[in-house]
Amino acid sequence: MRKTWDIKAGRIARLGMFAALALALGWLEAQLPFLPGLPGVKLGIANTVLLYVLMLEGGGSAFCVMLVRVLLAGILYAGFSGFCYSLAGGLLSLGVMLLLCRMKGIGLIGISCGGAAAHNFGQLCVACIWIGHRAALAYAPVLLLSGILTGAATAVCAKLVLRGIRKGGGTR
Amino acid sequence: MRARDWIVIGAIALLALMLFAVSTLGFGGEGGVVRVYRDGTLYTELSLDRDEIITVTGEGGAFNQVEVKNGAVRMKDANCPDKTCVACGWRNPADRQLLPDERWIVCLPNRVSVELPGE
Repeated sequence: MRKTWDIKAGRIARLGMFAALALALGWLEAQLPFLPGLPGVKLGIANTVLLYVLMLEGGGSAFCVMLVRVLLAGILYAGFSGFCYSLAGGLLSLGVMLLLCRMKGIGLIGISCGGAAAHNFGQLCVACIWIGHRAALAYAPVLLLSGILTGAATAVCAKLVLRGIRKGGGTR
Repeated sequence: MRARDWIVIGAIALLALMLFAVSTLGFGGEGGVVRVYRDGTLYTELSLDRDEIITVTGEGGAFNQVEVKNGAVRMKDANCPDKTCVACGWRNPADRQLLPDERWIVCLPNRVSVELPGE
């Protein structure tokens, strides 16, 4: 009994730490200005956290961390509209990443790119609903292609972190 | 980097290409008419041939100034927090074939979008 409790407590502590890290990185990124001419294109450093939670702790944990991050970000700095965009992006990207995880032979880069593209697409769908017509869809190619680049970049980041965590004895 | 990662990347690129094709072909391109939408409905139509500045007003003092000058269109000013729409600058359909995303100047916070004609 005692032991399972410890494991659960440890897991909750770890996930809390990861959620805090994702929240802080998300805030940091929100302070950076948009790329000129490419609104909405972001590196998605907060997503690196989601990637290694997915790899180390599994899908359910990643879902919890995403939800906590999106909720707290909405309350603290993103606002209600930011919350809607993040939630749609987060749900869609996590769904796609879980799907790609289950498929054989797809590595971290593939998972991350798929997740980033899905995230951008989810946000775009909210934008379409928000402004009331398909205008934002014309921007989809830009966001999908940028998802490939930013997805690959975050995968490289996550890979380095994962290597570090595993070298340090892992989180388990 | 595994081989199947390229398949994922290829699939995303293909989807992007398809959406690009759809939004390029599915565009009417009515000559010289600029449409201004607010909250998903047509607010007003402007002519590229006539220079003017209009103000789109919304709830809570929200405003967007759309300017047409010498056949080019821009969001002159807005009260939205990010000013992404203003940063888009001038768009001139006569200059060259505009890309699908360049045919729109969108202000997400104020729910205002400006649709430029194709040519």
